[in-house]
Amino acid sequence: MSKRIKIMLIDDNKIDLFINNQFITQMNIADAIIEYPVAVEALNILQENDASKWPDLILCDIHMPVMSGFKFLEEYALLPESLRKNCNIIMISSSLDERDRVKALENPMVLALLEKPINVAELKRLLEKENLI
Amino acid sequence: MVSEKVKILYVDDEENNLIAFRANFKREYEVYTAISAEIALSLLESNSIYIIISDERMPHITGVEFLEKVAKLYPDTVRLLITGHSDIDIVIQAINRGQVSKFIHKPWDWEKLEISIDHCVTIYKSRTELKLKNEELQKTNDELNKFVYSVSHDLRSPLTSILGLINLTKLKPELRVADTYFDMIENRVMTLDNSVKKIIDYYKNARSEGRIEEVNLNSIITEIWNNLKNENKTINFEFVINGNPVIFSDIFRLQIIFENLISNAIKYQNPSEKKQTIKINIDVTDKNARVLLSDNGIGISDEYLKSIFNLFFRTNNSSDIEGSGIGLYLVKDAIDKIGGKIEVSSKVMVGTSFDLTIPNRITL
Repeated sequence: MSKRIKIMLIDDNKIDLFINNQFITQMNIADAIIEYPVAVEALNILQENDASKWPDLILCDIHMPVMSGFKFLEEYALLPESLRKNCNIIMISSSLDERDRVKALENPMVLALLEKPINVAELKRLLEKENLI
Repeated sequence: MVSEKVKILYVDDEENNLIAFRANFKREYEVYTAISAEIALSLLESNSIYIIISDERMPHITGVEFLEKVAKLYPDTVRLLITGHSDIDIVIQAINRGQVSKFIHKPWDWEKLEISIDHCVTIYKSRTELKLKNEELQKTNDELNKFVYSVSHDLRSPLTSILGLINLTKLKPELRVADTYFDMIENRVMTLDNSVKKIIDYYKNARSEGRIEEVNLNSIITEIWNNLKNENKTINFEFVINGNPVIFSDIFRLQIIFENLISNAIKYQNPSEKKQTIKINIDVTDKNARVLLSDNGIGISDEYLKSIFNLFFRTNNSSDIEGSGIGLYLVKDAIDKIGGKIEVSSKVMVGTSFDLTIPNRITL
């Protein structure tokens, strides 16, 4: 309950970035929230392989132009295991598509798939269960 | 394609027959002739010929044997056999092994031969057309899939943002004054969002193939109830399963069925009822799951009862309750697709009960 974490938000929609930032602020679990409207930019930061720049948790949207959430996961998988093991990924989407759901949950790097809008209580339960906060 | 001459191949070991055949048909068709099966096969290899006429009696190989080979190598071809004997064995063999479409007696009557070939051309053309149409249909289906996928995302995405913003206002005490307005906005947005979800469900139900897998009735119904119960917190929910709650069925369709039935049972409660109740009783056997789902809500009058499973049907007394008229249609369609049955009985202001039989597809 006392741990505070660093959270990275990736979503092409700026309003959704704002909403999720506010939700997390209200939850009072983060000591830093970094927003990326473009997945490639988020990836570039991670690729610097600097542990101090890595978040503890990434909330990543699925449907994004240029680099989708799934493409981001593919690139993310190529990053060093030593850094990845301290970081968790939750995918978020407004899509009800069954294939998206299966694809996200089949990926061992993905902790969960949350439907938009994020349910604060659900996110909190999940993070507590995983001992992240 | 249409204006092109159809290519036909005639195989016979008598040179004179080949010459006569070519002379007679060259104007109408692109005629190929072969004096032996070997030559015929090499012609087939280098030309796309779809109609093949073979004499039965040839040295080395019979017409049936030759056509059998052709049927295996070029299954799209239409085949004819010319035979001097009405030997029933040859006829049977030709049908079973060579899969021929027509027989022609030797010596042939030109007019009858022409009709036969014409008939084969029709078969060939309709097959080609069908194949083309199937390919087009496949393409349209693929496009429709992509279309629905992107529509479902593009329509829902802004709605989820609006809902997210409304949820945020609830977390901020200084915005409390506007609560009633936000509640109303939320209510309308939810209605729209539910309609979009229903439309996507309708589409998915109409198209998806259905997959049989292990389904735990206890967990899917409990989960649906937990998701919906906040809509009316005064309802008393009684849920009993007798027998093994795990059945083999299509989980996606079962979700559609229970989600809609439970959601309706919640929506159409009787406001003046002291003890609003929804009862679900399930008996599971190796053969099926018998589900009785009943409520003591406002009920449905007899005149409407037979129409409730129709698309976009809404009863008079439901007009002040949100609904799209898709729900029960989806339920009926889904239960038909999994081979089950649904029956309904109802009394106005007493309640409604649904009696479902869901086949248990154990495959051991």
